[in-house]
Amino acid sequence: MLIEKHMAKHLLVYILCILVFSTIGCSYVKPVSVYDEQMDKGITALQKNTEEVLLMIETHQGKVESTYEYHRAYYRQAIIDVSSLKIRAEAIQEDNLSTKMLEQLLNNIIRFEKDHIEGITANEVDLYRGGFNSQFTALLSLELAKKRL
Amino acid sequence: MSINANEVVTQMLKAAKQVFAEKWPETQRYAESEITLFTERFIDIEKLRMSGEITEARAKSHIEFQKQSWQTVLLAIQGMSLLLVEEAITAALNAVKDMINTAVGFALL
Repeated sequence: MLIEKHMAKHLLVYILCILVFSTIGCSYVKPVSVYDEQMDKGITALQKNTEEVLLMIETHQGKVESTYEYHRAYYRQAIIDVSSLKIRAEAIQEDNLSTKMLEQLLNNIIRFEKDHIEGITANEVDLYRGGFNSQFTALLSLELAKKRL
Repeated sequence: MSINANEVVTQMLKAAKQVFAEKWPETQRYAESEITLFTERFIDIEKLRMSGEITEARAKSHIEFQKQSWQTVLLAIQGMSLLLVEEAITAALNAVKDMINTAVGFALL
């Protein structure tokens, strides 16, 4: 009777160990990495720079301040900044969601640059602003959610 | 001391449900708000095209831009949901931690 009770206790511990370690094991392949302050700061700075460009395109139509040439440095820097954040995110954890989100942001910066070379009207600016803000908010919201955990 | 399986399940579910009840509405509100914004943007693209202010090629470019942006939002919602599940599992395990540790006689959880 005593032996049976002893064995039952060991069996219970064994089952619980499997449960606990399988839960811990699963967490090693998490698609969501840990909070990164650099990502938070980098995206916030990029949002500010992007808004400055959009505002100038919107309010200086027909003037040099709205042209691609005038903002060429912004595109170069934005591509460098997002690429750096992407490499950093990938280094923290391979194949995570933030890396994919940054890839999509990069695609949109490249598209924005291509459209700007061709010319952007004031009425189009809100479409770029809205799309970029959705991406910045998405990246920051996920980062803040990681921070809370 | 034996473990009451029903009590363990009840406590774990209660803790997990509490996390979802508190945090899920926030994620849901975010998703709903973004859906509205994207719908408005697609309507604006159509208006600009119909008025002749943008070419068909530019309208397509805007659609692609918004699609990329929407996918980023979906990934964020996916990430926030996964974090919520993780938080619920942690809360569920914490809820029965003392009960399990006492029963097995060592700090298992």
